[in-house]
Amino acid sequence: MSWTLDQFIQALRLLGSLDADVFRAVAVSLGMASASTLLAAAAGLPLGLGLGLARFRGKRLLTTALHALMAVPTVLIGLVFYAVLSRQGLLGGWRLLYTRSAIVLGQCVLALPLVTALAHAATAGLDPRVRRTAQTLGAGRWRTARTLLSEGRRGYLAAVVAGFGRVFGEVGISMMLGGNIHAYTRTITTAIALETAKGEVALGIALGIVLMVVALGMNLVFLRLHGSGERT
Amino acid sequence: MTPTAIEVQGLTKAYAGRRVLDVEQFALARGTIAAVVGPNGSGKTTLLSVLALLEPATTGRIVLLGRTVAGGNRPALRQHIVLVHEEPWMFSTTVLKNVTYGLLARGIGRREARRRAAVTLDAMGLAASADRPARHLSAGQRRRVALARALAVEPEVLLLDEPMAGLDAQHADVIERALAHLPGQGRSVVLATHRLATAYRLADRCVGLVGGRMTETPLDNHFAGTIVETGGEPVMQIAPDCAVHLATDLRGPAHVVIDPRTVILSRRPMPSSARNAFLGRVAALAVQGEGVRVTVDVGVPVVALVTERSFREMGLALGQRVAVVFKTLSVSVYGGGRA
Repeated sequence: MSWTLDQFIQALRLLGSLDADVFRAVAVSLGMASASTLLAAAAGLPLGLGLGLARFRGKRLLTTALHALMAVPTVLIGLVFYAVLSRQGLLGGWRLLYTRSAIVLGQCVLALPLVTALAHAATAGLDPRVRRTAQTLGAGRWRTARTLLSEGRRGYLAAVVAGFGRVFGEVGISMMLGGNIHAYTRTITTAIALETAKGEVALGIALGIVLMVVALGMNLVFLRLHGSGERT
Repeated sequence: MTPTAIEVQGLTKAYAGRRVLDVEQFALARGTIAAVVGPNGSGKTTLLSVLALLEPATTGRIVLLGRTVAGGNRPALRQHIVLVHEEPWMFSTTVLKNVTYGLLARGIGRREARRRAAVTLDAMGLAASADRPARHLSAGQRRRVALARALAVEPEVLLLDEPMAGLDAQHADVIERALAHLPGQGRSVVLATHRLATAYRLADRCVGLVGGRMTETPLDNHFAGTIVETGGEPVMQIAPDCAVHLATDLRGPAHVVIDPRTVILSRRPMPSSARNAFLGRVAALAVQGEGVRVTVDVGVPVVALVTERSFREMGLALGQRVAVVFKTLSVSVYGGGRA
């Protein structure tokens, strides 16, 4: 008990003396998570919108599959991409393994089902009059889609925030596809794993606190955007 | 230019195999207002949604402004027809931006769209609300914004679902005045309402809609109830002392409509082949076209349409006791109604 407390107290002391490496890890984490969330949103929001509006045979099956994909462990996605991106792998020639691009790719695949499923739910929850009103006023397909995204922005923003949260805190993909390279692919989560493995539990906890503070800050930003979505 | 705005033939709409709309034929002349009158659940909203090309018909043919509606040309044809819902959706922005929406969708420049929207809002008495969030308006104001939003794009056909429902006299008057101008501009209107008074006041022509089926007679004598068998005959009790004899195989919840032109009035009960005869008092008198609308209270109001000559000869007056007589075969029965 006293050891655990000791580690936490040390962690709090360390927070004041965190060096540039920690801030680099924060920057890499934020950069990777933002890029992958943007990509997942660019694909997932239209997919979720389309899935919410379309009527086709097998829609329920597809939705169920999507929900199942939300639960895929990060380490499994990391493993699959590791097998594909390794020099001997299917896309080994692309030389992506242990690069930031590989992390973004893996994290994007991780966030996509979640963003799509939540965007689908947001679309299904929209008042049917939104689409009908846009259409009867002469809006074409793209303007109608833009109107739906705008009217349901709270739900769609929630989908993006959830996607960001999922990738920001993951460790399996970053570790397996990024290789935890110092000042390049080292994220906060892989740094925590590394420091803990080295026995630097207090530093690991300090990094964990940094992770939570950054996550909280990002969510406050989203909350502010969310608030502006309720303006009128 | 074709003289007909909308032409419909053999139109049906079914949800999960249940037919909710069955219109054999309907035509709306350009520059006219038609009212579709029917009780709640009669299929009015479905009819308007199908006519607005927002929902495909299950079967049938729609010709809009001389062009037959097919899958591919629906978006293009929608540019000419606008539906205003009973409870219109307001986009979560200002009133002005709501009204410019359809104009921008038609490729009109932002500045011109704002100018036209402002003019329309002014005409609807909403100029002061232009910059207000549309969602914060009262129900009556929202209805006016929705109408302004539709009128701003100057559609050739305007479809209105219960435009006066829940409005006070002042708001209803603004909407009525806005609609009254449209036929003069060559625009055509279909309005769905369950209020006969609204239909008669605004429309050039009234048609009834009961159980998804159209009747050319307006629904003066429309009654909902349950058909039961009494003495081996199907009967619907429309008032405590008023059981209407019917010629139908239907039993259970249904609507019945009695064409006012087939209702006979006599000063005293007379022996005849008609199975339905009820005593009542004259409750209202009104001139309608070439004839007189006589409303007789037999426990419920029953309307008879008589010629002016008959009216004079009978010397009908308010409060006078009369017999209302109509044949079983003159009662139209529509199944599936709400008792």
